[in-house]
Amino acid sequence: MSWSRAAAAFLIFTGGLCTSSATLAQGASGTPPGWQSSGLRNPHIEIAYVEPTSAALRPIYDRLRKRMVLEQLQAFLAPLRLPKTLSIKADQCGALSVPYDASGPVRVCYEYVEQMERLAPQSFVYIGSGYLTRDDALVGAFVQLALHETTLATFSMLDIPFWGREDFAADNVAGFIMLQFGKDVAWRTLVGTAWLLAQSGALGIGRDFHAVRSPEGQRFFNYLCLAYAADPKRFEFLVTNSDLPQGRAEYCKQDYDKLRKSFAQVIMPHVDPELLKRVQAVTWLPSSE
Amino acid sequence: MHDLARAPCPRERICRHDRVGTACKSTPLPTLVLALACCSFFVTAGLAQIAGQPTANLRSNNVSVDYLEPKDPKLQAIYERVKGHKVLEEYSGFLSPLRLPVTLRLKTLQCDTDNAFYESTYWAVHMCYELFEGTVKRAPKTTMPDGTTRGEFIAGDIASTLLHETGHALNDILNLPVLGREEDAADQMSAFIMLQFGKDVARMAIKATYHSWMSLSGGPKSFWDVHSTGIQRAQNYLCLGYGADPDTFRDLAMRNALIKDRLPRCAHEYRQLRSTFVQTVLPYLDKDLMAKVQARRWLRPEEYE
Repeated sequence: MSWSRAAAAFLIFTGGLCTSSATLAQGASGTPPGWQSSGLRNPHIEIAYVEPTSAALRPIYDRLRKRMVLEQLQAFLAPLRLPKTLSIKADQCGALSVPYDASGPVRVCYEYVEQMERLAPQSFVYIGSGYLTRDDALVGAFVQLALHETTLATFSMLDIPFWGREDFAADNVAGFIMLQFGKDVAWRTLVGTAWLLAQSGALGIGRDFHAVRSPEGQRFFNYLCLAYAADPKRFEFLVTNSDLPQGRAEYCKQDYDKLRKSFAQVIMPHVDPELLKRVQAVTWLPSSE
Repeated sequence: MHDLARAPCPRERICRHDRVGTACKSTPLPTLVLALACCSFFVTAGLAQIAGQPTANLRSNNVSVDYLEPKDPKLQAIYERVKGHKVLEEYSGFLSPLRLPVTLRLKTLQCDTDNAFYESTYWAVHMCYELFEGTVKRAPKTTMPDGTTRGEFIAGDIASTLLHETGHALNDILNLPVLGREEDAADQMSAFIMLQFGKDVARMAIKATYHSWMSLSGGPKSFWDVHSTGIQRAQNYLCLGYGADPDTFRDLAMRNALIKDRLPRCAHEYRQLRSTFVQTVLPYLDKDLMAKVQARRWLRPEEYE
C-alpha cells in the first residue's frame, strides 16, 4: 500500500509542493504570520497547556507551547458562537485520546502527539501528485485531532442534531473544514491525516471495530473519500492508484454533497458570518523554508 | 455466505442495504405507535402464519405500494405470500402518520440478489424477494441460547432492513442532516424506531437484528465500504438498545465481550440519537394519526413461534 512508510514504491509526479522544513517536533522558528495580527480570538474558548508529569512528554509540551497551537485554534474558532465556555487543554492523558465528556474539557493528548511524531515520515514521502513532509504529516494530524475533538464538544454544547455515528461525524466535519481553506491547506491537513491513520492501521495499533471510535482503516478511507469528492482532479490519483477503491469512490461526491448541505443546515447557524470572513482571510498553516 | 452483491441502480443518490451472507427506559415518544405497527408488519413479512390487523383506514396517502411479479418461478411462492399477507399495505398504515412532501413508493420485486435498496430517483424502497428468501434460510432452525426464536430472527431481520431503507428515504426526502455516514444513519433510524415499542418488542427486534448481523459478519473486513462491518452494525444496534434501556439489554450486553468498553458511552449515543429524531423527524409526524395507530395492538409475537 503506497501509504505505508514501509513500502518502497511511491508514485512520483512532477509539481510538488513547497512544504515546510520546520517540523512540529523541531519547533518552528516562528509562528505562522497572519493569525496573530488578525486579532481573532473566541472569548468563549479557554486554553491551557498542562505540564506533564512524565519527563518523556515534556519536550512535546514545550514544542506545542512554543508553536502556540492552542492559541491558533482559539483564533481559528473565533466565528463559532458558543453559549458557554469551552475549555481546550493540551494534557497528559494516560492514553492516546480521552473521549469528550460534557462535564470536562476537550483534551489534546501529548501521548497522541508523541505517536504522531513516531509515525510521521522522517523527511518526506511522495504521495500521488505531490509529496508529504514530516511537518505536513504532523500539522495535518494535529489539526485533525484538534478539530475532531472540538467538534465533538460543539455537538454536545450546541445539541447539534445529526444522523450518523458521532465519531464519524466529527471526522467528517473536521475534514470538511480542512477543505475550506485552499488547496495547500487541504493537502497538508487531509493527506497528513490520512498518512497518520494509514500508519496506525498498518502497524496494527489502531482501534478495534467495536469501539466508540472506528478503526483507522475506515477513517482513512473516509478522509480519502472527502478529499476526492472535494477536488477530484487533484486527488484523482487516489482512484487511479487504487488507494480509494472504485466501489467507494463512486459514492464520494454524493456523500460530500450531503455533508456540505448538512453542515450548512446545522453548523452554520452557529457561525458568525463576519468573523468567518476574517478567518478565511488569514493564511493558516503557511509553508515556510 | 452470500456475496456482497450490489443491486443495479442509477448514479443518483442510491443507498444500498448490502448484505454479506445479510432495539425503553426512557419515555417512549409518540413514534411508539409507528414502531408497533412496524413490528407487526415485519412479523407478517417474515412469512408468519397470521396476518396483521386490518389497516385500511390507516393507509397513507403519501405511500404507494406495488408487488412486482417475479420472472423466476422459484420466487413465485414468496411473491404470493408477501402479497397475500398485504405486507406493504400494513407498512403503509404504519407510515401513515408521516407527512411527506412526495409519494414514497414501496415495492417488492425480483432483484437477482439478496438485497434491498432505496432509489432516490423515484423515492422508492425496494425489497427483494431474494432477501426474504435469504433471511428464512439464515434463520436458526431452533431457538437460540438467549431465547431468540426462528420467527423472531426472521421478523427482526426484515424489520431492520425495511426500517433501514426507510431511513434512507427519510434522509433523502426530508433532507435530514447527516454528518456521519449515510449507512450508519439508516441503521440508527431503524434501531431508534424499534426502541419505541416498549421493552418486549424492543428487545425482540434489537436482539434479532443483532443476531442477524452477527451471522453476516464473517469473512474479510472491507474498511473502504460505505457500510460498517457486520460486527459493527450488530454492536451499534445493541449499544443503542443498552443506551435506551440498560435493564432490558444488560444480559445481552454483558454476554458480549466485544462491546464492554463501549457500554459506558451507549446512553450518550442514544440520547444524541433521540434528540436528533425529535428535532428533525418528529415535526413531520401527524399526532392524530399517531394516536390512531397507537390505539391498535400490532404485535403478537406468540403467533410467530
